[in-house]
Amino acid sequence: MQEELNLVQRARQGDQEAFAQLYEAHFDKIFRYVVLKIRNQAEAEDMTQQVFVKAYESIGSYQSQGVPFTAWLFRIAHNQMVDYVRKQSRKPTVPLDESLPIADETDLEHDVETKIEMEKVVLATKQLTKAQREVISLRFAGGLSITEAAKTMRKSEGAIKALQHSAILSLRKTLLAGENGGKY
Amino acid sequence: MGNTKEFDNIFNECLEHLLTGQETIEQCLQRYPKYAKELEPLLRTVVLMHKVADVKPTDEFRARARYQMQLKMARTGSQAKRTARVVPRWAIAACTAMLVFVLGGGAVLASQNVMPGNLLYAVKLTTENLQVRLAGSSDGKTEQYIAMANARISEMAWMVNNNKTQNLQAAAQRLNNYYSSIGELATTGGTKTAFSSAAVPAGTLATPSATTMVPTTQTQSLGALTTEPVTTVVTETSIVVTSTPIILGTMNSNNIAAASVNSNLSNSNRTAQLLNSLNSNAAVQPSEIQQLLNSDKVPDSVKTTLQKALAQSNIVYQSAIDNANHQ
Repeated sequence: MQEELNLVQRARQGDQEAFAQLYEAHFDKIFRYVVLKIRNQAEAEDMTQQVFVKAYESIGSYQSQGVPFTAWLFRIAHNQMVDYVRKQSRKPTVPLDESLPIADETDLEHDVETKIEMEKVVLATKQLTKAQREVISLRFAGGLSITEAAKTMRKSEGAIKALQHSAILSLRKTLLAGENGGKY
Repeated sequence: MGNTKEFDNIFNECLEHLLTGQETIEQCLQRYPKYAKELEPLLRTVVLMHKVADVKPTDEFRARARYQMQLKMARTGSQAKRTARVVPRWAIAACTAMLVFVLGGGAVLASQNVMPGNLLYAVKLTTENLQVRLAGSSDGKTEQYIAMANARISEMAWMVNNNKTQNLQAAAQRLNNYYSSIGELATTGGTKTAFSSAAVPAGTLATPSATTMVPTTQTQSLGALTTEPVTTVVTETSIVVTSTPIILGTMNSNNIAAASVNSNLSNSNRTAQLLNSLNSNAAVQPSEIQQLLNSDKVPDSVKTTLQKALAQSNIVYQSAIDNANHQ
């Protein structure tokens, strides 16, 4: 944590190597967060790059003031996403990208059942509220702690826990309804 | 549910442990048998959601993104700030493809001489990967992989000689990937894309330290190469090379490319030709690899990955022998 603070401090002063280290540390997390939310590989790749370009341009004016760097970075990603969704809402629906590189794809090739189940989970997330989806994306894809997610969403830690719990309950119910012949 | 607040706390605790890998579902349920029935379905949903979210960027995208970031940083380092503009991915791919086609061995391929750590290294990797994609036949892909493997071996030697060992692991991992792809091409005739997850797993480029390699439990010195069959045992916990290995990457690329894959050949003929190719090239001395394995400057983790790469090449060889014996 202290190491990251030092890196941020150096990056703010124009140290490119420090920024590069922050970039490497957060690249995968940001990509996962973005791709989980928009489910389109090509768009997610472009957006991930934009997030870091934006962060690089703005790091000079970043002041922690209770907002950790991680939360600040995810807010940038979130804002990019909001812009993206706004633009997409004027276009036809973007289909889910089924070719997303899931981490243990090799195993999944031999486990069609699991893959189908995972696709059901993706569909079930559509039933979540915006806030629930955001918490799930930050926690599960972004790998943020409760505290970091709370700072990112400007909510209390208790609220994040409650949202997380209700999101999982909702997912479970939707999945059960699907198993019993209901529709997502 | 007896006590909602207590259950919420337990659920949150178990979820945290699952996400951080501290505990399994079963361990959590054992700790809280009273709530096991209610907890289990929720925790299974958590695990599923976690799997869904575990998407990784491709090696190619990682290289491209890093290169663009470096360009951006280089630009702002020498010029006044300007509005951010990310070059679309298709534009980069198109430009690179055009350069490869138009210039052939010219400007883009000039980056072939750059070494890890250089600004243009990402271009070199991207161009190489693109060349695999552009290679229409499996022969061409195999040939390209062998060239890439040889390039990585040379780079590793350069890194050791110049005390720049921080990217060794990434290079060794790539080497391993190339051998996997060559094996895949040799056994499937290239029906599976060379850019499968096995060929280019994420995490190998940007964060070499993130590559998890289990320590080798037994390491033998790698003596002179022979054409004798080798026994390679690859388990989840160790890689043991019990005889002298064949170094696929040092073979004559034309021979192996011609021998390994031809869509018009039957599997048995392809295998026989691959075997012949391996035998005829087995006397090549992989001095650079041996130097790396013997070097004190190379970390054990890198040596483990190198051993794994050797094992991969041996698997191709071994499977060729097995197939030939069954005919």
